[in-house]
Amino acid sequence: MTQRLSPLHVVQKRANLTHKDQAGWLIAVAENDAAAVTVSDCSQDSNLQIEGTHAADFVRNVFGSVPQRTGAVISKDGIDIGQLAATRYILRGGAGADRDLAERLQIAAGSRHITITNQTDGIGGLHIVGERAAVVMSMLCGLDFAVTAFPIGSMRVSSFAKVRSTIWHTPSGYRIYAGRSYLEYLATVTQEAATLAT
Amino acid sequence: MDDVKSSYRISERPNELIDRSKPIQFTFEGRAYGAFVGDTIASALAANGVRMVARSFKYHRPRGLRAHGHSTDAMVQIGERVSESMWLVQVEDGMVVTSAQTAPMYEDRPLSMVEQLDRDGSIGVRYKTLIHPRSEWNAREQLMREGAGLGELDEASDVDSGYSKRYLHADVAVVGAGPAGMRAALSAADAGATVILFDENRFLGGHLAINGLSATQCPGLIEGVQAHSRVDVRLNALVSGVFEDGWLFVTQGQQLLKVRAGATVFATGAEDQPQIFANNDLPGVMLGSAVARLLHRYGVAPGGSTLIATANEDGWQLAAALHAVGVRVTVADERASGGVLSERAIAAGVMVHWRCVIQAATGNDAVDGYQLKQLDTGTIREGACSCIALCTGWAPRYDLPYLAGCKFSYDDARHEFLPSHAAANCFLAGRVTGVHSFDAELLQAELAGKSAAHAAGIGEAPDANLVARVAAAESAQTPRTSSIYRTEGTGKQFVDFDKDVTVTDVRDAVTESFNSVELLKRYTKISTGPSQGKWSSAATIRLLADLNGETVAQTGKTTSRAPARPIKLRHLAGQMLEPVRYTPVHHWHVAHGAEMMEAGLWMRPRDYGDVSAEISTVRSSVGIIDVSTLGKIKLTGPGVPALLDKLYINSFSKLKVGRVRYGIMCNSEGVIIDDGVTARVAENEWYMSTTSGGAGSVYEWIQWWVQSGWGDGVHVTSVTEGRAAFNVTGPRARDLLSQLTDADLSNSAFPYMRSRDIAISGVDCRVLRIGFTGELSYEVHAPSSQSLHVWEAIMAAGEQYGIKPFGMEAQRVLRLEKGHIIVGHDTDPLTNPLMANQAWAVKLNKDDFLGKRLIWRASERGVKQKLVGFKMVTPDVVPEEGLQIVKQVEPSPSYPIGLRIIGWIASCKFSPTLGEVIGLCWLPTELAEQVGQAFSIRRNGELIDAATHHGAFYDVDGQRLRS
Repeated sequence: MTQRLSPLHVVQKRANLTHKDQAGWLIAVAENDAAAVTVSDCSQDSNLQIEGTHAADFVRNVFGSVPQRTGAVISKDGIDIGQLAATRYILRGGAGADRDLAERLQIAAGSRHITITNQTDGIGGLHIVGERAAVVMSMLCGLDFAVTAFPIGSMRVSSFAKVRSTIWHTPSGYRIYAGRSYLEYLATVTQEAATLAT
Repeated sequence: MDDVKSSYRISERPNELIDRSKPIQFTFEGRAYGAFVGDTIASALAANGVRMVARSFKYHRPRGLRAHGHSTDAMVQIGERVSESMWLVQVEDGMVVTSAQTAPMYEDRPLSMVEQLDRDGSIGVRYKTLIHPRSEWNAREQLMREGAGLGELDEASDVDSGYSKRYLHADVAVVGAGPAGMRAALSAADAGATVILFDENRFLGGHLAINGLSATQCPGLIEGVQAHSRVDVRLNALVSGVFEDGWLFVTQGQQLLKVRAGATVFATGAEDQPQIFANNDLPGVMLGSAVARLLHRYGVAPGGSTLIATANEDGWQLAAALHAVGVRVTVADERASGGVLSERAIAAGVMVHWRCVIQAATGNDAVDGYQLKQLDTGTIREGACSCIALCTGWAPRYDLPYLAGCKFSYDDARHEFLPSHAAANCFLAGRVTGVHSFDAELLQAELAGKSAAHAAGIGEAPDANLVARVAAAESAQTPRTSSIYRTEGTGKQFVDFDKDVTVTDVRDAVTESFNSVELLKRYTKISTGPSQGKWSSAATIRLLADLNGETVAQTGKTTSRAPARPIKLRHLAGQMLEPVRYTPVHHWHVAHGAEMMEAGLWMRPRDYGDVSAEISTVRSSVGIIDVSTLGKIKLTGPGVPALLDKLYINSFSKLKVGRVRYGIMCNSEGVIIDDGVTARVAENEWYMSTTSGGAGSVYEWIQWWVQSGWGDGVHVTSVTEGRAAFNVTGPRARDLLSQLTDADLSNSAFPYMRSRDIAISGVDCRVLRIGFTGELSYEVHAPSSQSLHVWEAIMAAGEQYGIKPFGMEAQRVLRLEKGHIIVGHDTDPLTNPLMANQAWAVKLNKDDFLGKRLIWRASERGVKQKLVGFKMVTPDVVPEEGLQIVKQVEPSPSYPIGLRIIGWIASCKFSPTLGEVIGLCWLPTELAEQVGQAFSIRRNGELIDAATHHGAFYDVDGQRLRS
């Protein structure tokens, strides 16, 4: 099978990063340092969207529960499910899970008018980790990153560095997903912000 | 004439902000001056005896240091930094400073004649006088712009310098770190609340620090807030706005802070107010607080001898301080007698004139004397001085609490606007409430801090005893502001210094019926300058009340709006961010010599070095172009066919699965907004492609109509980024792709305008048999993450056919040879399908579609202009797009050179395939409809010839793309 590449693949190769196969993706091996903030590529994460008038019921039937309000996230079987709207949910999971999951959901949907779109190939992701991560996020995004306003285990849709993005606050930091074509730009400005923030 | 010294620096002061062991140098208006580290530009200039620092906005009058903070006169330029206040910026060694308000010259007054010309200086001049006569307007405008100054932007400077935004949270926010603010912060923090304490100064203590009293009268306060674990002290932090739910807008350094607190205490203090008298703008006329600040914080006594005009004990406090450092002080007090401070000062040798008010300042370019009027006898008394300090009254700084929802009303007895209503979770303390006695301030702040903490859900409610004591202290306050805000004298009397507005101007405006406070503000520009009316609003309202014969309460006040303080646009803009988009094979293009160009946010290959070769390869063998930028939209649901029938001018509802159709989309005015193809990939799933530029807007457009009730139950999903798209085009395209797939690509199995989901080089792709070049074409839509592999596989398989990648330039020629339009390039915001020669696509027999009514009307009435092909007759010329098409007529006043414009060139290229220059142009319908109609194009002043052409220029019957 043809390996899948991140939008940052060429840039990473130029930076002499080592790549390894992870569930069909060629992933750069992240340097394991203890910097105040690190920015890494998570474009291999699975991203799927479920849309439909009865999307909430569908998600509940498949996963056993459903996020109750916009921005809320639940986790089931290694998949984070966030509510974009009452009729729209986004699923985030590990590398390579997307195609099987999309097929499974499609079968579960049957003849119901539920639209399942595997967005994984169209989305690039950045993972921002470290004690200064919220500062970096604030430099590029107008959201309030206080944990009271944007708790761990929730998600938001906002403009990040002027690009419409989905931002997840996870226990390890922030994951930002945006259109794949923007990722090289986003990685550059995020890295610059990280440098400024430290 | 008073003595003028070379240095006005006095001996070291306790708690001064300068470091006398570190002398530095800077220049102001080209002259070198000495300063100490810690000096502001203003204090350094005052120490050097510089009296004139700017020229006024309208009359070009000399202006000096007058009041601390932001004002037009205090604005300076420091390198690329414009509109900085000389009171707020600290001098750095080698700093080059110029006044923003001295253009065109600092010392001479080439524009001073303006002062004499009522016509140019009168109020409302912008609206009525300067526009007549029209012929003089340009010269007048230039004169005004040069005179207005305001600095010069360096457009080449790097604006991306780390400005950023962030949120802060606390239980209680306290604005103002004077004694009241500090006491309130400690009170709230002691109750258990987290507190952020903001002050725009670089020191704690507020008015006490300014008056040199912090050490003795603030015991425990400064140390307390600095040491308290729950108080976050933020100095040099300017609170500029208050928005819904107490959201504070704060700038500090390069950061914009968005502050959310459970409750807010405003301890914003009060501003001393200038009296209006003749020549009250002369350099040397200063507010008492500005003199005190220079004296106590920077060790500068700005005048050799000083007249203090006062109506309260504050003036005497300043008099005593100046007298103590050797300044000859005279006090004019409008009262008949004073208190303890005045008695002590008089005993120490300060001269006094009781029951006197200032009537005029005298001097040419700076103050050299004064005229006082005795209130009981009316006699005029004159004297010499080099500085006049005004301490005649106060106005609470109520703009921020007002923005928070607090109300203020005028107190006729105290001549101040005082709080009459507090907004929810807002508390006021200190001089902003009209309380000036120190003990009362602290008591009030104690209550405000406790109340704020309680409102934020922390601690107990304040006890009734404290509330009662505060009420008693507030009611015990005595008037501190003079009942006299203006005296009559000979000379200009300025109401607003930022905008050079005089009493006469206000009177004229009222005469012209601009007699409401809001109208007056807009007509005169009073309070619209950098000081935002801090020193002019109160006097304006009192003056207007007098002119209208009303009370101040009847006159009312203007509305405060954010920002209450000047802020940099950089703070609002944040970081300089310019998104750019790359296709999945971008780096391949660059590595293979592509010259990249910007196409919206996208970077696309313009060409790979030889456009002609790229074109001929497509015509003779096979080429490939990256069209990943095309918009791609997935539509699902049974309502899609009906929706598409309404969105497109042609029909889609009967399109069968596996088929593709070209469509044109119009808005409700019948104007073409986009075009593209849509494939029905399953019974209830459709795959639409849009132009690259229309990807976002078409998606929004469809969403808008779906949410408006069309296409019931349709789901619309943008999948633009999910698939890269490559158009493989040319007579060998099928041969090439057949090597990479097991699918049958024959014309019978996969004919023109069909869609198939097939594997290309092992990757699941969607392939559409469509094209823009007129050749056999396959548009391969591959998953973005695997698309580089697909592209490289196509290139490798095409090597035997001499495949070449081609860019946008070749694509534009190829499509022009086929006569295809590019929406937005060949069309404009008025173009309907009939004008664009796309009548074949319009299905007026459909029930309804967007734009049908106006397209139908156009079809009934006919259209005046049409897009039509043309070939150049004049050889070897490629007319540029946008050139005018003209018709020769008799010269007349309307057509002085005998040429009437009848059209323009939309697209034009040299076709290497045809060996001719071809294009699309707009012509009057009667000409456009005639084949071979000759017309002239005006180029570089000469006429060149062309003739109309109908249909495609190449492969007229379209056999090649269907083969």
